Amino acid sequence: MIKKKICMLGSFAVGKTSLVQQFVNSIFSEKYHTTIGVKIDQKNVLIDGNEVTLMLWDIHGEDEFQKVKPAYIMGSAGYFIVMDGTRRNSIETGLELQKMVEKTIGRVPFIILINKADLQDSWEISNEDIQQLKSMGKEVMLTSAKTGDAVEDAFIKLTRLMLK
Amino acid sequence: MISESKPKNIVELLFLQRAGANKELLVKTNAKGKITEILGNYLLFSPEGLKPGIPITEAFPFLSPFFPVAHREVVNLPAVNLGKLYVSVQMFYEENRDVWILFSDVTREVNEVKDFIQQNNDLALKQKTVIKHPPLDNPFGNLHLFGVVTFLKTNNNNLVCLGETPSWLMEYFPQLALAKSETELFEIFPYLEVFLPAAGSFWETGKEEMFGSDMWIETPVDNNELFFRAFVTNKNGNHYLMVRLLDKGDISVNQQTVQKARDQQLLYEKLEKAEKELKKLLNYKDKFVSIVSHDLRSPMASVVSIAELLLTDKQLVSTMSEFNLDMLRSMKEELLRLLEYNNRLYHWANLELGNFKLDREKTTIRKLIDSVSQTAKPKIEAKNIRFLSLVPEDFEIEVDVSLFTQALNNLIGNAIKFTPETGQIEIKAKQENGKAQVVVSDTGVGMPPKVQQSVFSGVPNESTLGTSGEKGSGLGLDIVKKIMDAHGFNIAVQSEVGKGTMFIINLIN
Ligand SMILES: Nc1nc2c(ncn2[C@@H]2O[C@H](COP(=O)(O)OP(=O)(O)O)[C@@H](O)[C@H]2O)c(=O)[nH]1
Ligand SMILES: [Mg+2]
Repeated sequence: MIKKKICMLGSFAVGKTSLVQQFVNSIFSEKYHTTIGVKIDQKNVLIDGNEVTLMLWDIHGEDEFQKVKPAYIMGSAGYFIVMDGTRRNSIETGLELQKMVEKTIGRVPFIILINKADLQDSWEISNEDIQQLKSMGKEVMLTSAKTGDAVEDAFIKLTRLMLK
Repeated sequence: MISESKPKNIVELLFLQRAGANKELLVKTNAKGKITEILGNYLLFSPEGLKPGIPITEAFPFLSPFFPVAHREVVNLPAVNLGKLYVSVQMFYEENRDVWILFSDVTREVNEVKDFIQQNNDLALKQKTVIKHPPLDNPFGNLHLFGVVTFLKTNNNNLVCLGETPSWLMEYFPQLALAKSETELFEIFPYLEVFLPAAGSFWETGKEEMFGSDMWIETPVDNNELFFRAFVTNKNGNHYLMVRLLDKGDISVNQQTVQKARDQQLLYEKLEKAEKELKKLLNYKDKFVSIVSHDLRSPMASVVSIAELLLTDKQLVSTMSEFNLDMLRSMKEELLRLLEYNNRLYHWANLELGNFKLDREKTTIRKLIDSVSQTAKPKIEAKNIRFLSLVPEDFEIEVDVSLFTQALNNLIGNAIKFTPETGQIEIKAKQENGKAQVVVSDTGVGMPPKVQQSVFSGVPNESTLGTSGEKGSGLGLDIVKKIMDAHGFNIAVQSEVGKGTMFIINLIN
């Protein structure tokens, strides 16, 4: 069986833990419970006939209280940069982390997730912002850990990219 | 952002305030465990003596797993047995990785519950099937009592579990005691994959200190989060790995701090968003007022002209009854007042919007004041007020003439409004040692301190009636303040109820 490591990266409270919970356990909680330390979940998926065990590394958010250590990212086959549609400044943090990852482990597949799509009415991230990210050659998906929208698709898509 | 108060002060303060300070000992160490400060009754806890400079682990070997410090957290060891004493130990970590350790004598409390706990434990042990493994001694002693499992790394790179194992291992990860290689360990704790490479480098140094990992989370049972940390060290040339379950209650203290800070940050971001929205709305309101007042100007002005036309038509006037004539006159007056009010509204909205450009030109104060007194003359005469102006002829300033005139108009208008008949209004301009001032003072009714404070607050006041029942817009002084701000001048008010009011403009450039 193939084992692959995926890191969840992004500013705090963007929905990293919620996305993993939705994908692994199909649950969602409104309560914000900040992740301290590192949490690793596993999920087996069957993709194009391959059984893959995904090791999902939910790393605490990046801010002045906690920094993401490069060591956590080592060995990743792919990663998500999670942004929060309702908080514009999560773009910047996300892009910085992405650069850090690329410097640490080189080019591996990643997808930018703009999360909280169920709250799109109060989004601060605009279509132009998204277009700009896409024009930088980045893969962007809009997800909702709350409704589950595009969550599974995102994990499957990243896994496919990693298996290529 | 939250400001972090220095824990040192809190800890020290808490300690000094406690009544039982003679049953307690507070020690500060650096990150490596070297003692730097001692407060309280150390003889009770360590009769051999504690002194700054020695490692705390020398006096209290059971503290070894906690040094050197690798992560900020609060550690709580509720009842440590030191010979005759039971001691509760709390460790607080400072930002710079100094550590405060508070020892409290809890012998009496422990003895009270000891028998009960003993019975309880006996019962619990009987019910559990204990996995046995080669009983190799743990050279660090009974670390399992502190939730630590210890492994020895053998020469052929295998792992061997040492001594007794902590209860969490039995309960959640029994296979851990049987792990024989790093790979088997990673199956159970994948987090260790990031720690062991660093640990390997540390083992190679041969240092007999502790090197610790960050915290990680396991959820062996649904939704029950367990927090762990790993440590490595060397002793007598051997390499050791330890995994410790962190006390849930203690973690939550640390967790709460970060959580609070982040909740606050989120709240702050929300507020910021709301403020932006509000500003947009206010801006919209000002624009609305500006447009409406602008568009009302010309129709109103033409109605005033029509009234004027009618009033100067001798033939028409001669046919009107005195009553109707009065009505027409007061209609014109009211309309003029409305027009004036509308003008102010327009100015105010535009000042508020920042929609104006100062058009500065050189002129003399004298010229401006002459024009202002001309405008005010009818009202001054009507109220029989004495008007004095003391302005040097050659006093030059560079201002936006129309705006500055408007400001002076408002100030004089205000003075007239609140000065009773036969009172006095004075306008003075003076230049002294590089300072230039224009002062408008009156012998009017004055303002109570509360009104004085709010006059320039930026929030338009409710209009107050003048001494002869004059009506106003309540915007006048607000406009003055905005005009002065735009020029970079400052304006102040001094007033005493019943004596009068004085406005002082400092013309700073
Ligand atoms: N409405 C909505 N809320 C979400 C979504 N994802 C996460 N949240 C909420 O956002 C907060 C932070 O989520 P969390 O997963 O802890 O973020 P993390 O710090 O990135 O792990 C929590 O209150 C979640 O309930 C989403 O897709 N929609
Ligand atoms: Mg999280």
